Amino acid sequence: MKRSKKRIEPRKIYVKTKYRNIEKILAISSGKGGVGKSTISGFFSMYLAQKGYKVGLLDLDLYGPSCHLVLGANIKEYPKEEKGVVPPVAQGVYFMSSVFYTENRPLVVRGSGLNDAAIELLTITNWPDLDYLIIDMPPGLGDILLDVSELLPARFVVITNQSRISMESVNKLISYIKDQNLPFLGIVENMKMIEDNFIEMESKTQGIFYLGKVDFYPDIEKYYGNKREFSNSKLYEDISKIWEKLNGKI
Amino acid sequence: MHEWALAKSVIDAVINIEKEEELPSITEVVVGIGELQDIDIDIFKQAISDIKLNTPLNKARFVYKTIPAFLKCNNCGHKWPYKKSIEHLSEEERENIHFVPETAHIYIHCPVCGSMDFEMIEGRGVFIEEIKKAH
Ligand SMILES: Nc1ncnc2c1ncn2[C@@H]1O[C@H](COP(=O)(O)OP(=O)(O)OP(=O)(O)O)[C@@H](O)[C@H]1O
Ligand SMILES: [Mg+2]
Ligand SMILES: [Zn+2]
Repeated sequence: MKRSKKRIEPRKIYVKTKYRNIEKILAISSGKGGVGKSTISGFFSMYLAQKGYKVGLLDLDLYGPSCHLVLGANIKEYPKEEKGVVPPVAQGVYFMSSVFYTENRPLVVRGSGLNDAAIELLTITNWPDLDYLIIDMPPGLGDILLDVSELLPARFVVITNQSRISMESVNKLISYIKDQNLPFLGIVENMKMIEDNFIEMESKTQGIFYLGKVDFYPDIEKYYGNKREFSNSKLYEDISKIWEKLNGKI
Repeated sequence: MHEWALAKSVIDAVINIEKEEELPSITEVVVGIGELQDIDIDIFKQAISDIKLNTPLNKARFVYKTIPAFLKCNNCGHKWPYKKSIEHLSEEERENIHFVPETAHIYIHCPVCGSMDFEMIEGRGVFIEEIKKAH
């Protein structure tokens, strides 16, 4: 009889095989904080759901989860269990977030704990057959970025503001994506306030696809959890234009 | 059940790490079940028996072993059994830890210095401890 007695942690292996078949995983990322990753992730998911796609949204920003606000999801109720946990539906979007299990209290953990929690969520969530899985990434370049690039066949959509300070950090993420040869769909310019083409030019010189812009809407919060208002908004039009460009690439 | 997803991760992992032609000769898989997640062992066993049916592991015996959970404070170095901390937890808090063990950091503090900064040094999650083959 042969035995192998090395302790094996099954979740990473499982996550790799489980998500291999979801072809369209979009990681909405930035490198820079506060540029609108969660806002775009949430509204983009709502947009796709309204177009009739089956969309999942996974909030992987475990230090500052916020997609539940954009979707207006009820976080008081536990997701139901069936062969894992079933993501509840908000605004037509299948939604999973750590907030269901933290009572919205702060999760103060070191990097390894962050990875463990993220991998747990990826393991236990029983997604339906999705057309798209949107992942709201945390700011910065670290633990979660590494997990997503190592475990999932995610394609990156990078969000920036039109400021040079924003682009300074965003460029670091872009270098990483290029260095690791990760699938890269392009860059979105969010909260655009002045007419200029700095980001567009910057994209050109770097050979990155410019996916378009979302203007700054001071009243954007009125669209949170409100698909009717959202679908009649200029914000919706901006997102729809981005979608047209993106769709050509995927 | 959420146990079902963990059971599926164990079976899929065994199938992925072993060579395909070796799978039918696996006679036994020892599964370590960390105490921290408070897994319902009967549901877990049932899930394993259901899932393995349609796989090359259908003849393998699954054996279960509980792994006690220990926490260690990163601030003062104190090490303590998780059991000691759960007495203070509400049902909902235990439920949260059951789903995502890291939420323990929200509810548990080091009994010596009060820090939230501890490691789960043992007994977090489900493991494949041993794989035995017939030849
Ligand atoms: N197009 C926009 N118009 C107006 N306000 C916006 C727009 N996009 C985002 N915001 C606002 O900017 C702030 C930051 O947005 P958001 O939280 O989505 O950014 P983030 O990149 O996810 O931040 P973090 O890095 O903290 O996760 C929020 O208050 C949000 O409402
Ligand atoms: Mg965010
Ligand atoms: Zn301590």
